[in-house]
Amino acid sequence: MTEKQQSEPAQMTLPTVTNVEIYSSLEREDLHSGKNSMNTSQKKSWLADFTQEHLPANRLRSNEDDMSNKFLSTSTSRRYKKRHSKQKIKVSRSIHAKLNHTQRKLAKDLITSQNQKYSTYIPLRRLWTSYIQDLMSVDMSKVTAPVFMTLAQKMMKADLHGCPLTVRRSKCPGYVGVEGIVIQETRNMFTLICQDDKVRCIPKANSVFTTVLQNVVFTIHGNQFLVRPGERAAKKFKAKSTIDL
Amino acid sequence: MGKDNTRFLHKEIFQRVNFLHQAANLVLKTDPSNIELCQHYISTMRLVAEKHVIRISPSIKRTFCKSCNVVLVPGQTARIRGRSKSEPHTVVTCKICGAIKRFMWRKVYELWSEKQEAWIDANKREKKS
Repeated sequence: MTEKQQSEPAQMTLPTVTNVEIYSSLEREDLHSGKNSMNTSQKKSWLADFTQEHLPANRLRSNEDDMSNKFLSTSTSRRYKKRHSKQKIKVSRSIHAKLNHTQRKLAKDLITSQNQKYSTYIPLRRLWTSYIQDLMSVDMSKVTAPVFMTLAQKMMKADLHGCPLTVRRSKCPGYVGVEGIVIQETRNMFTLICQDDKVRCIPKANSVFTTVLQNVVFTIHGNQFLVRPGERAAKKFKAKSTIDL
Repeated sequence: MGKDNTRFLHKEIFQRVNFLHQAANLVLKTDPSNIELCQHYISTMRLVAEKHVIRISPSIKRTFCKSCNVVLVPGQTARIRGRSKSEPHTVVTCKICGAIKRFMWRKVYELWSEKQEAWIDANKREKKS
């Protein structure tokens, strides 16, 4: 233990010739004077003295009394170290245990790794349009204001996989104008496939999306949509007078 | 529209479950290598049904894997075998994760939705309205 204590201040210095000098200037009694039996505060003060004595002058600022930031830890007992290392392991394990098998699999990046083509998702878009027309069950060409409210309500609860989306506004200018089919919706992201066969992940936060159904334009405020797609149906949306962005 | 709602609760949710199931099938059909997306659709479908406390119909429920949420297509993602040991049954094995589904060949077995008891509830509701 004593060896460890004394080597710590040596580590702090630069690995130059001074290192050797420090080791050579160590006194015999410093090594074998039973520093193990001291308690924590004694160890601290001893270490402070030691560092003041042996550190090169350029490392010491003038009138600096507190030396505790010059060495690492004073508690060298095995039990203390063991406890701390165990705690770290526990934390990491619990995070891992929370994810089940499927979630761990889904946590990998899903589609971006593969070569995707826009044309393969056209049937999905067609399926979605038929689904949404079935859901709305209203003739889109003559929509009045009260009907539109119920349509908006339904649109909130509808599924967006396969929906053609356009980014209208965003805090990040690079996302503005991106147009594509939603192939995946997660809590914070829309994954779009664009016409140039590229998969783009666009965060919902701080952007505004639009969809066009025949002649009705729906605007989706991404900040209000930060929910998992499955949970969104059960969520109650509150009408807000002002919307950021 | 009001009458429709009393007779058919959660219509939108059933439509959504239906759509997601079709989408998952479609994705797997158009691009057989895209298993992850199929799993994502089925998992959202299950989540939607779970949140609204809706029973997924057995005809849909038997077509996906319980543990990895992939649509079971015979020959592609599933292996189907008949076994006669102990009691004759069909075994459906998921090729992705290896989970097993077993269906017994019982003559007397009847699905809940096909039983008479399941229908009484709906009839009563109709009479009330």
